[in-house]
Amino acid sequence: MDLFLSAVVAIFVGGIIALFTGKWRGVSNFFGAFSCFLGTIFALKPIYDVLIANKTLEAITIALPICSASVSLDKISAFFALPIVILGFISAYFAAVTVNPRNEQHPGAYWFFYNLLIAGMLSLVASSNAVLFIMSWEIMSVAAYFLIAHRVEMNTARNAAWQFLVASHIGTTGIFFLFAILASAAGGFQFETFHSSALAEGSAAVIFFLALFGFGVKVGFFPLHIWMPDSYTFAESHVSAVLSGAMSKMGFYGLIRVLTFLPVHAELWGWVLLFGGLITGIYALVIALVKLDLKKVISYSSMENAGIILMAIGTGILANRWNQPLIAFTAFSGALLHIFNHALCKGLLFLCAGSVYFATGTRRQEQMGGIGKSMPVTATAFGIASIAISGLPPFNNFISEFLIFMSGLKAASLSTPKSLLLSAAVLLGLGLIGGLAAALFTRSFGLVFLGTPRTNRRLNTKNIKSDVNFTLIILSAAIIAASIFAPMLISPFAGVVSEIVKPLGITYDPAYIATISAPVKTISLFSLAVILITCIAVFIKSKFLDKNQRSDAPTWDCGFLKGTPRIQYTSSSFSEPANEVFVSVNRLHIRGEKIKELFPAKSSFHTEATDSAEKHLFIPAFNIINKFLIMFRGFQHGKLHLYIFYIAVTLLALLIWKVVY
Amino acid sequence: MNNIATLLALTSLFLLGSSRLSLAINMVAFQGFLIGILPLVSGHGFTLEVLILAATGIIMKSIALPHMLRKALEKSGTKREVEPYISFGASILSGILLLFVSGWIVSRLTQDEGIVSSSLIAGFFLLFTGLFTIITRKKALTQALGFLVLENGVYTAGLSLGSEFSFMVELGILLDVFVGIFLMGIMLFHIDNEFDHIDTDRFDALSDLELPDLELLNGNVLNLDQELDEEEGAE
Repeated sequence: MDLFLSAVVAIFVGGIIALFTGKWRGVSNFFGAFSCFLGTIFALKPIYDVLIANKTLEAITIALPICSASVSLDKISAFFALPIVILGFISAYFAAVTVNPRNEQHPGAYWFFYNLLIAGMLSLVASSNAVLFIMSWEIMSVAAYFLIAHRVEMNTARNAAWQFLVASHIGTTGIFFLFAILASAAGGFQFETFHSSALAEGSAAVIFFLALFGFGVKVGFFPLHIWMPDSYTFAESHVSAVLSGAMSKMGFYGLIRVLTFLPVHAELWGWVLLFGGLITGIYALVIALVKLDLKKVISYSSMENAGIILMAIGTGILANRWNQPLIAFTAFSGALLHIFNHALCKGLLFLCAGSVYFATGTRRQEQMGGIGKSMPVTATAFGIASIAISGLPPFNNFISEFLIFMSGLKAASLSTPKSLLLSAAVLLGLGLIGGLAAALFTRSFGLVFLGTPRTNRRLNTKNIKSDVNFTLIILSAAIIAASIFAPMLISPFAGVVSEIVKPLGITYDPAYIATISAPVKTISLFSLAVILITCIAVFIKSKFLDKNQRSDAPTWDCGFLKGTPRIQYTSSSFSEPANEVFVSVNRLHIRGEKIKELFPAKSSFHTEATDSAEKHLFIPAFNIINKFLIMFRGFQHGKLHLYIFYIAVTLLALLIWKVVY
Repeated sequence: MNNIATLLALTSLFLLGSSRLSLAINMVAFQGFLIGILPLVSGHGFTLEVLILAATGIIMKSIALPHMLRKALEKSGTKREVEPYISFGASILSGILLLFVSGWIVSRLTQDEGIVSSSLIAGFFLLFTGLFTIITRKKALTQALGFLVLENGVYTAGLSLGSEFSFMVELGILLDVFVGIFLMGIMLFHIDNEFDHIDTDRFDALSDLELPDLELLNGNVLNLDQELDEEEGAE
């Protein structure tokens, strides 16, 4: 535990040194990045001890101003520290080699907030006290706010950061309330006291829904997700990688942590999580399919995966309720595995997007094309991540989604009406989500990397040093490793699962690990085979078949003569069939007419897509609030005299009130 | 003690009624002198601490700060306070009202002890007068004077309330006032340079608060193309 805390302190102190050495770019970069490397490597050891070596680390008590708080690392904490450590390390490396050498950035401030974010998240997972938890939560949110707003030259980045801050604080009120209820029932802020507290049935439900609201903002639970796409899009790519891969996972951590405080999980909660997750996943993809911005597409995909994970947690709760430990175990294992896998994939996708952005200077998919030829490493990494994130074999997300599928299938075998509903939701929902995700990433991959360039924009591949490719290769390797060694991940994650359900008085049969490992082993072997065969095939092709065979020729031009690169499929045309089905959800705004005659005149076509939840829910709601609050704007007139008059009147009134009563 | 309290109240009333700024500064300097000798007569004896407090009080409040304000006045070229929000006659009447209010508050506050301290009344009165001046006058310089009077009030009230005479606290307040007025003097100079006047009622032009246009908010649906264009322009 000492080691873990010193890691947190090292990262934090490194950030401060980087802040004060901001004048000297290299020095600041060195301290910021190096402390991150050091801290994350230090932190790996206690995580390993807890998660794999099954040791219990002694809790340490820290004296806070009001009370004392203890930090400890149990299995759940260690599991959630894992994505932070991995992505914290890789993104720090990515930042050190790409962004900060650029002149317009102030490296000191950047590293300070980056390290603060990582340190805040690590202390969040380690804190076993509500006060420390909320403090770390706030540190994390505020650091993230400054990181998003860091690109000061962009108005939109500032707007996005502002949106994030507001959303995050609205969520935090929920967290405050839930801990207040828990603490008043338990008579203390320590997490251990929460376990033994006697909660009324009603207040447990209130706590759960407050948690779903408060932490749902972070994970992107529909409709609390509206801050998410913009924030991830306008932050620097490696920041988005950390935000999406690690910070949004903190929402799941909070939710799961709160679930362990509650003695009984009601069936309703399971249904809410299941259908909430389903709606979140499908909605995210439907909106993503009309988005033109590469990073926005990836952001919405984060939300989609959050939906899948929530569905799995919901399934687990329901199965526990129905005394089906095997199904619950499978679902929870799938959820955890998916959290881990998604962190890897999303990190890689965002870093790839950053690499593409450096080369092209745009995030607009419609202006890219043919990048794969000049950036083969990025293209390959993006391809691997796309396949993985769509939940297709042979990569790791397929395995975690497979476990969730398996829990759904097993639920069907119970053949009660409720279990059939559950399995229908899981199987059909995951199927639809998987299909849409595959379409989404096929579109993105094809538009960005395949075909011929759509504009004359010169690719600036000089920016892409081998260092950048190195981070992409590491994360790709991590995805491949997570696919091949998935069976070995199951038993440590099973420990986490049993810790989650321990307060419910449920223990899972250790034999379950073998039960679900068996099919996973088969899949992993298959994955290994597919990957090996692909590698060999690529090797043979490049070694023996590629020689002098390449020639540039126009692609099939659909009967149009003199085709230009712009005749290629666009993102709108690719997703048009899906849009026709989902137009009631995504409310695509179309300007211009489709061409009907044989000899058409000049015409234009333009589509615009906004997030329906934002346009039809939040903007009207906030307008109503605004109309009410605008009445108070009269008090804010900028007249100094009247401001002092307010103070004087208050003072006099208080004095008179004091002497009269 | 009572005489000084009466003189303090009178100087404040005078301040409320005078439009000439140099006269007002002199009045505040005189008030500072009265405040300075207040510790000497407040029955704490002539210890070293009391002497130091009196000396710093007099030097600072009746010499240093008025001098500074006078210089600022010279530089700004203003002579008079024109068109205050409440006219000078009405100000004096309100001053008398405030004197009654402070007398009433103090009599209620000290009911249990049976003795009404006149210097405490003066303290409250000075405090209210200071606030009143800040609120109703337009020249930044008069407001600095108001602030000084307000602090004098706090000082007087503290002295007459303090059964335990706290030397450090009083010195701290003095330092506070000194820094406050010093900064105001500098700011006055800069404001005058920048705007050619020291009228604070025109400062609200600096306010960045504007009533948002609801129509505009409705149309504020983020437009992707616009965002992207904007960003590319910024690159």
